[in-house]
Amino acid sequence: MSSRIPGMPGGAAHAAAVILALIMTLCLLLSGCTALVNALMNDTALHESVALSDQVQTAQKEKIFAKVSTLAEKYSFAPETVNAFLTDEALEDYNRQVIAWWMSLLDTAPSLTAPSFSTSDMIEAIMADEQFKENTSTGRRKAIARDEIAAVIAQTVQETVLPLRSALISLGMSQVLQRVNLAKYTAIIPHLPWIFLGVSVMLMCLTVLVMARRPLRALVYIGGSLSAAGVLDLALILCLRLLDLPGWVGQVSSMLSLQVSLLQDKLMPVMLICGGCALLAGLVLIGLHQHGMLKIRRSLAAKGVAV
Amino acid sequence: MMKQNVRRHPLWWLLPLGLALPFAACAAWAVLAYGSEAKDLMDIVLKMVVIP
Repeated sequence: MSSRIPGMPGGAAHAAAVILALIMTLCLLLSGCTALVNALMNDTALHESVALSDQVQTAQKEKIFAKVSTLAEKYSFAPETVNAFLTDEALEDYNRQVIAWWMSLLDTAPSLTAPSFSTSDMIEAIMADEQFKENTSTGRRKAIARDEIAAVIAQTVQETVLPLRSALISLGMSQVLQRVNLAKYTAIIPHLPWIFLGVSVMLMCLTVLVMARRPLRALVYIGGSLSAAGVLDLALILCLRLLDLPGWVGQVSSMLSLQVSLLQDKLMPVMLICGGCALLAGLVLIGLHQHGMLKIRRSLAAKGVAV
Repeated sequence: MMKQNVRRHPLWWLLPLGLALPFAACAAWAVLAYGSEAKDLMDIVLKMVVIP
């Protein structure tokens, strides 16, 4: 004897709802992923919070001052002469310049040369250093101060702030920009999370339409999609943690590893909250469905209908 | 009034896992099929682009 509740959606409606739920899950995931990409590409405040953090600034200064000490020993000048130009404000300002350059690489007509740390005042100071003057011949002072000391320090500053081969990036970007109108594609990226979210909401409405005979049933599919997206988001976080990106990058560069680690620490909590909320919201909707269906079965059982 | 004993359908709670499974399976297949090659390529890119 069939115990099917009368007036429920049929198999075709359930099949359509499953397909809609799968597409909804995909759209929710894409919404999250594109939001992440958008933050990495367009959120200057995020990059500044990493680059200007105490840990990164301290690590940068340690490397730069170590290089200055090495050069001071080699060319006989007082390290304080150079260190006076490597203030917190100067390094912060240079970090901001590099971030602005990095973020502008995908613009219509970007500057392909990374900014360099200004050393004109540093050269004058080195040439005026008494220890340096005693140990270097007059004819070679300017060349050594400019090419062997200031240039090396500027390069060290650039490499600690941006531990990437900027010349290679510039070359690559110039080739890409000759072939592809990147600005056309990058302009749509800030809108993609909202587009995917809008499609998800449309699919939710479609699911309710498909389940028109018993709209309560739509809750389980909508809730299932939300929870599935939440579960996949949490699984992605787990995989990223297991992948240990900072450790992998750290095999080549400790500076970049520190920056990647801090970026990960800033993005993970947001991903965790979004995944957790989606999972919870989905489970609540499924719970509402279960509660509603139980009430229906009880009322039918009270009337003597076998369910 | 006595409560009626009615059948419950707890399997609906597993629907999220059922929906997530195809995506997890696709991701696992992609990682197993192309994971080592992708890692090798990224190692090369890392060594080319990153300053030690």
